Amino acid sequence: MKKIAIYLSFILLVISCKKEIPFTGALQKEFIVVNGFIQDDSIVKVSLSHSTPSIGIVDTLANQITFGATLLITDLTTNEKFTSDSVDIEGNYIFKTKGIKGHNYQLALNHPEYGVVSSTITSIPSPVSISEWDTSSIASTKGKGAKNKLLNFTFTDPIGKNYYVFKIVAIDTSDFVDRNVTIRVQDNTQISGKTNGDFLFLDDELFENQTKSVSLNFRPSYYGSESFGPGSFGSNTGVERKYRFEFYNVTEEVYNYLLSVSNSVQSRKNPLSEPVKVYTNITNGMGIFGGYAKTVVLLK
Amino acid sequence: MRKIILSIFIFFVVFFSFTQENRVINGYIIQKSNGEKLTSISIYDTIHKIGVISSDYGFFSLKTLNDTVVIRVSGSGFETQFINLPISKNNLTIYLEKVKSLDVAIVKIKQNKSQVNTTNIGTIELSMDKVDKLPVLLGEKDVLKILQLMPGVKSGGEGSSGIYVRGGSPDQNLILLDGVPVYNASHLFGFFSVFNSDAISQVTLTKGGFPARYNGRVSSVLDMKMKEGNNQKMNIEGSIGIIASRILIEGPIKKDKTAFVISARRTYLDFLAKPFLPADNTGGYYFYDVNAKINHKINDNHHLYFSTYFGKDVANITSTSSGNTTYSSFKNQNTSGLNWGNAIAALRWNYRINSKLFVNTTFTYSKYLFNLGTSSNNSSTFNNVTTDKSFSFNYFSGINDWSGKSDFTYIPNPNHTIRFGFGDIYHTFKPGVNTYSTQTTSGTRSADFKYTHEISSYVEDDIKINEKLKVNIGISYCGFLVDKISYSKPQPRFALNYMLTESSSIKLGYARTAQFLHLLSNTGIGLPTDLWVPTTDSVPPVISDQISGGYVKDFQKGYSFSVEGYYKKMTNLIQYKEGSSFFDANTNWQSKIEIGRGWAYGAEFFLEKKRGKLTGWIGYTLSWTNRQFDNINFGKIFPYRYDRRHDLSVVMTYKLNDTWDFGAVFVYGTGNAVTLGTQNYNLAYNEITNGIKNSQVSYFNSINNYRMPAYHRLDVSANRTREKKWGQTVLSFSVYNLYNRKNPYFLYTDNQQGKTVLMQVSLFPIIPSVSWKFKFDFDKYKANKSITGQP
Repeated sequence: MKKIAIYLSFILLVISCKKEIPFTGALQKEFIVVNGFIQDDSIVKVSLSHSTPSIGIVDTLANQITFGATLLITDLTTNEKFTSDSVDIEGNYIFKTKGIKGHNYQLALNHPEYGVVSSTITSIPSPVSISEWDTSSIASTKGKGAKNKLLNFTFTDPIGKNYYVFKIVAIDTSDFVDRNVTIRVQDNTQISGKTNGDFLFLDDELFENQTKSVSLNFRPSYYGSESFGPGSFGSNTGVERKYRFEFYNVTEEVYNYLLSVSNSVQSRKNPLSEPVKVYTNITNGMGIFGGYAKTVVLLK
Repeated sequence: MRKIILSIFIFFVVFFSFTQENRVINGYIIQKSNGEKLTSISIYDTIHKIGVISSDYGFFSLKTLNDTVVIRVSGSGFETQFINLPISKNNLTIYLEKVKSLDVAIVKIKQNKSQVNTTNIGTIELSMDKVDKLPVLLGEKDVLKILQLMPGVKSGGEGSSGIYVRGGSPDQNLILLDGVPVYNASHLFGFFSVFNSDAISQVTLTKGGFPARYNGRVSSVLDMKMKEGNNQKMNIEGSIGIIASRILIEGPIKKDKTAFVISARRTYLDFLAKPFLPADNTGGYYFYDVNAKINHKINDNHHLYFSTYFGKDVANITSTSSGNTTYSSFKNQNTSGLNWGNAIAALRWNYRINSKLFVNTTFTYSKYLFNLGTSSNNSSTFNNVTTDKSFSFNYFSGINDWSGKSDFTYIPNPNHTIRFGFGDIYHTFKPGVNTYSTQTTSGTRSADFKYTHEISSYVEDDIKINEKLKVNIGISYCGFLVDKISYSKPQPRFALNYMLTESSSIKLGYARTAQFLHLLSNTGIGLPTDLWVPTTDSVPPVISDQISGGYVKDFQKGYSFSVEGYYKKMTNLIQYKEGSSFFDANTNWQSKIEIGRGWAYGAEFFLEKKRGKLTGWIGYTLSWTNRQFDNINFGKIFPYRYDRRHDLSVVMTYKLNDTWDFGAVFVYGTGNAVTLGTQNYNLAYNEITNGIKNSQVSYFNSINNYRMPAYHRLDVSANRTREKKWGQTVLSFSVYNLYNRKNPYFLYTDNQQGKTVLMQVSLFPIIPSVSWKFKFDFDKYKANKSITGQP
């Protein structure tokens, strides 16, 4: 297939030409980007950066960090107000308060260059406890060779609308680099999740307030290579890594943001895929202001 | 459904009971030189001032008073005949000869198809002569590219043969070749259409005010008829171009009874590219197509036709490499290929049941298949130990149709032409199958095949209410059966023509149309990767409501002018979700789509000069087209990719003398709408997002937020016609894009020396081409031989 693409590209190059053209569209003003995730019982931090024009001088990431803003966070449940009292070099505005599950928050931000920006969070989620789990099953596949594994786990869906994000991380003890492994909901599970490889997104529309068992199909990971495990391509070598299962209960805004980010990243790999608008809940800016709770299981 | 059938039955019972017969003159109109049936020929009773027009199958039925009459038979480009018909002579076959007069021969425009006095609204009938005379890309004549020069019909972009009609996507065009749907009308990734213009005799595009007999698509019906085959004499014609050659052979098997036509075309891009390929690579790209038809006249009442088309695009490449050292050796072979094509067949039976009733029954087969595959075989030897590895991957998708239908034409009197019919199409959808294998593993992933029935029925009446007012009223009733569920969609149709003067009229039309098939496409330019999928329980049929109105005026000296306005609303359109494409690992296409709405509205202006040495037209369209999906662009309305505010075509042909004629085409169109990021910004970084490899995303305020530069170009051509003792030759010179405009094909951003710039890729610069066409006339050859004693 690659050869075909090269061949067709060759024909295209012979007959085509390219040139730089001026950008004639309406110029978009730079905007402030808010990245604020509030977790139960963790210090509240909000990082600020700003966008840069897609056409023109390329700015470094460091130059996009934005200082000089005044931030006010209001706990709408208790009506307490907090201002940030320090900013680190990565642009994190740090507050002397911790997130509290079930509380609603409001962000008000003022910057001399980007004006007034605001957002709200409705109810910081609670962690979800996983009652049982195992990874002893092998996924049933039609083909021969290396088999995907299954992670079966059971949890009770809390009351109210919940949004979940799952990750399985292969833990590398040799070079301390963790890698997300590819996961999807096993076909015979009576739920449907949205996956873009590294993340699996699931809402509780079909199992509201029920105890639910989920089966995740994931690709095993081996030292030295992501793809080659025992039996694949005739290889009998390879040592499998250990895994960490991360179960996030997130607010709807975070769910939409992560789903669109994941889609956007995926679409970059495929020139034919449809463009993706990344979700935001920031008024007069971009980014995300949301909440989450985390449950982690080390898989044997 | 039962009520509708009952209503139709009552309508006919009442109708027939009030029709009284005097005499009915009926028969066929046939071109004398080749035996082809002629449509839209006027048959006029000069004594009682009553006339009719011949139907799509050359059939006519004229009811008049029981008296001796003189009928006038006339049509554009044909000698007018006056025929005295005594009372006893009612069944006849009329043969018309082409005119010899220079002035009329130049025109060959179907003037009787003047839109002034018909209920047709939004209808284009293309004279095949236009295809011959106008400049073309790389010498390849293309029917669809000529249609793109008409108002309301747009091209997808540089070189594209896809058509976009009144804001609709390519899948919303029902493209019929001899009544059989063709699902992928493109060769060479959309640069050429699959229709070999040498084999086509008639092209009609309906883009609004659809009569009830047309159903199945919501934007247009492109009805093309293949030549029937000359039942009078053998004829061979062909052409040689710079990328392709073609040949057509037709003639009688039994004179006046049975005739055939066969035509073929093949490109030689693969041979041309061979010197440029590395020595260890083989393969190339080519396409071919073959059209064939045979017709047999059983008797005056029965005719049989069998026609077929098959064509394919093939691209493949194989590379090999090998090497040796003292202790090791290796040998690798990699092969990649893709091919796609259509195959269709139609068996048609025309039966004149009686002097007023005619039926056309057709059985058809249509198949489209896209296939992509790659394989590698690697063998390596080290210290006398050999290891073999192999891998192959294959993907295919497609659609198959079997269908049968009957179309009746009933002409009780000159004031009514009633058409009714029914049919069924059995579709098999194959929306994407992946297979892979290595020496140790293998597997298949496939979306479910879908087996569906598309059932249709219709009735319509073209009614002449008085000398000024004509209406066409009808209803199409279609059903779709899929996965034990069914949809049924009644589709009312209405068109009106009111004559303001003898040479001008106003028209109104309304049509509701339903479409049970969808095309999933990432690009919209008609790539073979586009996926045909059916309506299902979760994907409803597309419904369109279109109203249109217009004014038509014929002037003296062969000028005519028309203006039409339209408003079209479409529901249940489908589009890939944000970030999705045909090649995702997930083969369930239903999980990759969004369902939404669309609107299109605009005005089309058309000024045509039909007579004289200089002929041509100016077409201009002002239009808007938008889409809206709940989960795309945050639910906000955005412009369709092919929303084109201004679209202008200026087309001219000039016949200098019998030897030389010239053509010129100028087109201008607003640039396509594309999505272009205007700002970049950082993603949130924390323990959840850890692992996302790209840290930045592009911001754009709306899907399709940016306009590519406007498209325009000028093409010119010159044709030199030489009469030979054995026939005729035409040497054609064309220059595509005369002033070398760098038209945009696509845009991208590129990082150059710390600066991001906007880049434009253009495809075709100025391209001169030459082609040579010949026509071998056996009668002429024999006549010359008998006179001179030598050829």
